[in-house]
Amino acid sequence: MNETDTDKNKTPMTDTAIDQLFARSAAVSSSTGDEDAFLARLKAVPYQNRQADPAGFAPFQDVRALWAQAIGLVAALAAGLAFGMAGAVADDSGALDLSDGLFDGDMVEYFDEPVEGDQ
Amino acid sequence: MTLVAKGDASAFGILVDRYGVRMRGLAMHYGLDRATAEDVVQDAFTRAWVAAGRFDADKAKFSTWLSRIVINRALDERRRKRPTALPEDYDAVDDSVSADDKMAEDEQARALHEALARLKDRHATALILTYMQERSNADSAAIMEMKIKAFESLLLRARQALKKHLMNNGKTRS
Repeated sequence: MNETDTDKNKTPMTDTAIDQLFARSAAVSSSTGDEDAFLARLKAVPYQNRQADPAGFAPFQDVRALWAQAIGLVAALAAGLAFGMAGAVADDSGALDLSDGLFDGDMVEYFDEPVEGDQ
Repeated sequence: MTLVAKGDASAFGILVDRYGVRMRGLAMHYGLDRATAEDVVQDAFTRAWVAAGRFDADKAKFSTWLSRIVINRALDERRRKRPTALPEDYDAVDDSVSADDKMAEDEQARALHEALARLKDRHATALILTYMQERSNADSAAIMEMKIKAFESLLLRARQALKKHLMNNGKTRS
């Protein structure tokens, strides 16, 4: 069948030549037996993008966590420094030496209590 | 997608099995070679993984959403380098046809492919979705974010444009 002017009035869906072309092309297979490799590559996407894990994808929270860690570290350093300085001062005066005999009196008192049934 | 949004890689694998090859076919219908089409699909799945938490199932089906990503990326690639010939690996594996028939069919497929490559993006997309991916008009319209009536009108114009291209190249035969 040749194309004529009357063909222009046809419903395009009945244009067999074009429909055949589409039918042929729709049947074109993009599969050549390498799907497994291709699909495996796609399935690796989550493992290649763990930092973008949708469940944990919260970049601003990450930044806040880093700041919190940094502030905590600075606070710990400051506390440690203050404690060290206090210890140094105490050592100099000898007034706050807590290392020896702290519980000695208590322990003595405890064992000085008569134990029921003793003797 | 709910599981994928929670970071479930095995659920993601199910989506890959279901849509991976089909999406590659979709990308290749835009004239991309297999390697480029696979890159496009991988990029689309990566975006799907990263943005899974923001996917709204009430607004679109996953396949619709993914198809949009693939089409947009495929069109980007197509604009970058408009193909003038059928990719070497764009071919059917069909032992039931003779060599002559296969040559004739290949020629037809090539003609169709070249005509599609010269169409406007929207025309090509309407034809590819409807006739090559065999989507319903409703699905195709959803992917193209159009009303069904508007899509049907677009499809009609796309077919007319395709016919014109094919006739100008003397490739149509009945």
